[in-house]
Formats: sequence, C-alpha cells, structure tokens
Amino acid sequence: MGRIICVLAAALCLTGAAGAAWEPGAAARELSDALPEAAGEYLDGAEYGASGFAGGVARILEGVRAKVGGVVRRRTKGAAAVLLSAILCGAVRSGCGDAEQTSLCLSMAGALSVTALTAGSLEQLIGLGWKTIGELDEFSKAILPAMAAAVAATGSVNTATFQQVTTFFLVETLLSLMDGFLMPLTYLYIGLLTASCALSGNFLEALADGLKKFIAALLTNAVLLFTVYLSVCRILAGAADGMAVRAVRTAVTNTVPVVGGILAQVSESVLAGAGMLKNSLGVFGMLAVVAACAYPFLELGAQYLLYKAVAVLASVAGMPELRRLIDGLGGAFGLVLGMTGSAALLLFVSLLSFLTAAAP
Amino acid sequence: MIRAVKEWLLSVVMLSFLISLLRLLLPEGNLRKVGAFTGSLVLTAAILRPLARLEPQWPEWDWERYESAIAERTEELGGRREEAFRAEVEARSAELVRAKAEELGLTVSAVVTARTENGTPLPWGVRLDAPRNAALSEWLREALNIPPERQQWADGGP
Repeated sequence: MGRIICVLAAALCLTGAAGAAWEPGAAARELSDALPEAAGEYLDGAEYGASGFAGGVARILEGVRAKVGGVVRRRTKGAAAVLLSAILCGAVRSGCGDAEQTSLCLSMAGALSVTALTAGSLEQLIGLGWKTIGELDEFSKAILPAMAAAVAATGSVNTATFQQVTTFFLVETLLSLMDGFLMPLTYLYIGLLTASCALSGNFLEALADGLKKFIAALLTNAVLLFTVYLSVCRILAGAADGMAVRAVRTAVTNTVPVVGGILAQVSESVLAGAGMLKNSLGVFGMLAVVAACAYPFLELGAQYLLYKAVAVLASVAGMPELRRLIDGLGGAFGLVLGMTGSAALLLFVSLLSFLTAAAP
Repeated sequence: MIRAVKEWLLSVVMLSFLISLLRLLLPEGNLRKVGAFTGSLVLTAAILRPLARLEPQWPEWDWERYESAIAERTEELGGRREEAFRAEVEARSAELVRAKAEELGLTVSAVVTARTENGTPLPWGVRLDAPRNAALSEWLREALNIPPERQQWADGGP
C-alpha cells in the first residue's frame, strides 16, 4: 500500500500547475485509503503511466491466476455435494420405480437438500458481491472528484462537473435500485424456484422464470439508460465548454502580443500537466475497478459455471426437477454477478469518459 | 435482511414439504384435488407474504439536489482552475519582467498580480524592489499593459 501512495504522489507531483490548488500527497493518500481492499493487493507496485494499463491488467490477471485453483477447489466441493444429492435422488428413483408419490417425495427431498447445501454459498457470495459494490461506491467518491479537477484544469469545467455529479447520482440511484428492489426480487426468485421444484408441475416455475427475466431486463436497461444519459450530458457540457473557451480566445487575441504569448504558454503548460494527471488517475482508477472486481467475479463466475454444469449432470442422473432448481440457483449467482458488474461498468465508463474528454 | 430472507426461504421450503406430504397422504380423487388446490393457495400466500411487507424503494432522482450540486461543483472547479491559471500567469509575467530588467542592465525582483477579466487572468499590477526606471516602466506599459499608476517601485513613485 505504501508503494501505491508513493507512485500516486509522484504522478500527482509531476502535474505542475494543474495540481496547484491540490496537495498531491494528501490526494494520493485519500485515493489509496479509498482503494478497495482486493485492489490494493493486486496494484501494489503497479505503474500508472499511459502505458501502465496493460501491465496493471497483467499483474491483476497474474494475481487472479494464483487464486483460481483455491477458488475452483472450494466451489467444486459445494457443487459436488449438490451433484451427489441429485445422484442419490436419481438412484433412489430408479430403484423404487417412477410412481407419482415416489417422484414427489424425491423432488421434495432433493429440493430441500439442494437449497440447504446452497444456502451457505448464497449468503457468502451475495455478501461478497454486495461488499464489492459498496467498495466501488466508496472508491468512486474519491477518484471522481480528483479526475474532475484534472479535467477541469484542461478547460472542460462543465464536462468535468456534469460527469462527476451525474456519475455520483447514477451510482447512488443504481445502488438504491439494487438494495431496495433487485436484491429482494432475487431472494424471491430463489424462493419461487425452490417451491416450484418441491411442488413439481405448477405455475411457480413460470413465475420464477418471468421474475428472473424481469430482474435481468431491469438491470440491463438501467445500465444502458445511465450510460446514454452520461454520454448526452458529456456532449451537452462539452458544447458549453467549447463556447466558453472561444470567448476566452477572443479576449486573448484582443490583448497585447506579449500578454497573449504568456497566456498561450500558461495554457499549454496547464494543459500538459492536467493531461498527465488525468491519464495517471484514469489508469489508476480503471485498474482499481478491474482489480476490485477480479476476485468476486472469479468466485461468482466459478459458482455460476459449476452450477450450470451440475444442472446438466443432475438431468443425466434422472432428476429433471432438480436440474431446473440447480440451473436456476446458478442463475441467481449470475444475477448477483450482473449487479456487481453493472456497478463496476458504470464507474468504468465514467472514468473512460473522463479520460477521453478532449480539451475544448 | 439476510436473516429475514433465510427465515422466509425456510418457511416456504417447509410449507412446500408439508403440502406435498399432505398430497401424498390424501386419498386419490376429489379430496386430493381440493387439498392440492388449497395447498397451492396457502403456499402462494406464503411466498407472496414478504411482498405485502416489502416497501419497494424506487430510486428517487432529486433534481433540485442534482442541479444545486452541479452549480456548486462548477463554481468550485472553475474557481480552482482560475486560481491555478492566475498564479501561473503571475509567475511567468514576473519572470519576463526580471528578464527584461536584466536586458536593461538592472537587477530587479518583481511581483506581478493578475486580475481575471472575462474569464482570462491578465497582468494587473507590479511591485518592484528597485527605484523607478523609465525604460522598464514604459516596457511594462506596452508589453504587459500595466500603466505607471499600477507600478509600485522601491522609491515609492509610480
């Protein structure tokens, strides 16, 4: 962590006039404090120059690769227990015949055991996803003002402001949408799935399917809408910045040549400093977002894929009802993965917009 | 929240179990059909129970807060940029004055103050630690647009 502060402070110190009203050491410390826990582990010693992104991503991938074995082993144990209960149910069914009463009993027993075996992972992984979303929210509160200050120094004051404030509001809105609406619906989806498996052949399965599609559509459309809104804000604010800069240029051309020369030199110097600061912060921010999501994505992704695989195997074992339940539970992990990814994507898009904001 | 959800999940699962058991125990025929129907209704009610208590918190977009936040931040960032720009103009102008003084054979330390006009910081006044020099004073007026009345010399006179 110490090295992160040093590298950041060095990057911020190099920015000259752009950082004049901003103490680099304090800003670097603030950013480093807000850095998500997992990100700090991967980014210690990374470079944040323009070419540092690829190196940072490679460092993150290396860190993740070291954890793949442990995560897959841990998740496979849980998935194997679920598969075993499906195989046992299938074996009992093939042994006792396909009578309606036996099928119903086996469906109930299977649903109960699968849900019980999944409950621990569900709680742990939903908690992990939610913790990551919270950490990204905290990090956005530190990185976005710093990025906005750097972009504003290039003359794009309106773009910087709109970008920062709008992202804050959008992240806040997305979080409250997840917390107050999407998460409870995800739990409802899990409940419906379990009940539909225990009472096979009823309307609950269709209801659960519909609910899952609704959650996914709501999440996708919310992120799409937010991204479009952010882009529109950026275009409108960019036009306002362009007009302001044209007015300043007219004022400069009307001044005496020596003063005009000073203003041109200062503009160039501030622009260069702010550009460097913007790039360093942008690379750092994007790497931090990727690093913060790497481990939760690995855990949730592994669980999602394993449950999908187990669902297919459960079907082969002669328990199609359990296939639907296990597949659906995998889908619930996918929904949590989607929510975490949405928060990360919004922050990533915002940082990318800051980075690509051209001086007016 | 997780605890409440676990309790709810458990109650749904247990109820499903009990209803299925009831279906198994009831004799085939109308009684079983009625039992299954009643059980489904009870289970549906149990599943939807949290929905009745659930107060969906649709996110609210507070436009007033959003607009005031934008206005505040624009002022803050604009002010910060202006401050940095003005400081740089002052420093570079002072450097230019010292260079010109050296060219005229003078050793002068200058502090230039700038003032923002129409969003552009321009040199406004200068304080020099040397007695008045007519050539430098004229240059300040012509090159930096600082008239003699805004030039402070060490001997006090403009």
